[in-house]
Amino acid sequence: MNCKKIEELLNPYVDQELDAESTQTVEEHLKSCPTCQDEYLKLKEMVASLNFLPQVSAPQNLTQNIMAKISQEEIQIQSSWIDHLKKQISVPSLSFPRKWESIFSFRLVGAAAAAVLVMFFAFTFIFNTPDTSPICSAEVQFSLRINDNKTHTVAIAGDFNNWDPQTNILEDPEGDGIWTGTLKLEPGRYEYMFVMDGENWFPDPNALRYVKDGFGNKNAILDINNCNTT
Amino acid sequence: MDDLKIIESCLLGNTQIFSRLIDNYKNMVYNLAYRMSNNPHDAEDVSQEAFLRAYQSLAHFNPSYKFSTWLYQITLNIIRDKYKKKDIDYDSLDAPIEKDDSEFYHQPADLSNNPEQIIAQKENLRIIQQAIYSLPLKYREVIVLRHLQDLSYIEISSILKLPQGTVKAHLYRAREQLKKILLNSG
Repeated sequence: MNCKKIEELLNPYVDQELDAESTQTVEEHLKSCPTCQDEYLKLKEMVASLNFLPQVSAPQNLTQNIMAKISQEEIQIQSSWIDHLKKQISVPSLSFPRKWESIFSFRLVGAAAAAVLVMFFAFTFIFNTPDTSPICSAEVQFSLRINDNKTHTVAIAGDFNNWDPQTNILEDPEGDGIWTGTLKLEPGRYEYMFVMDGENWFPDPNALRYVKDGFGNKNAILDINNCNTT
Repeated sequence: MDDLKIIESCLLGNTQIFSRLIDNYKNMVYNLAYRMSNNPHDAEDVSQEAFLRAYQSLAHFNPSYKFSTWLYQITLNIIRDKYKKKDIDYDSLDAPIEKDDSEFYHQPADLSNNPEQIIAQKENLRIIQQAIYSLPLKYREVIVLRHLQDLSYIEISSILKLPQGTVKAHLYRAREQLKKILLNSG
């Protein structure tokens, strides 16, 4: 076996991750090849120095601090991956047909998977496959849950109101943290965001699609289909 | 009480029991964060965030995996988000490695109690830690998981969701780069 091949095996050899046969091959080669032997010793020495780095201890009060945060900030165990996007803001999926909830839960497996699925959504919506029903109601209900028990103003701003955070204010009549609002929308494609307390802009965590807004954030996209035409 | 029992109990409403999971894994998470970030303050922030995220997502933990694997993944995701920007700066180091015939210099560890040697030893540790930190994120991950967390190739590949061949290749490249960096600093 040549030196190039042996060089590839040296790392797993040092890590004791080679099978018996390869281990023997490497050891036999090392006996007869001073160059590889030299490489091996250098590697071994470096691995030893890396292993020499000591373990450090976590700060004494780490557990306490985390548990305090859990109770103070009312961080809750969430039932949906979507919620983990926004620490305090979660959406109970009230605004869309039940059918889609299963799609939502898949979407946040990982950034890459999300990207793939966003593309998947794009295709399914463009081709309007039988599995996904389009939103065709002219009245669309938006909803958002904010879990922190504080008083907020929540508005929705988007293409339909010239991105004015004053025009369409969401309401929380029950005081249960679920903010809702209804908009009458013509068929078309809309980009929008939620605005909390007039200054915090964030995308609808429950939206089907997103687009980059050019300011380092992303807008939710809502497609309203004209369902009367066939 | 094993991890699964604690998680079950926590999901049933006994949220205070989560502190046991923190106690069991805080050193693991903190060490990972510390070696990845080279900074105790960042390490503490990352550790807190990791446990908070784990807590929030506890209902989604898949019991067919080890809890530690899941926690490693959460922690590394936070670190990746945090250092995305920095890693872009370091990507220039990720160039093909030329063969270098120069000698690799390294002072062997000396465990005697001579003060000069202790200082030299500390300096060595600092240099090694700095060298690890200067690696691109994907190489730093395999080095830290292998050497500081003492994990097998199989465990590393399941944490990073990479094929074992890729883990091997990353480890090889990471060590080649470390050699070069340590050579230049020595």
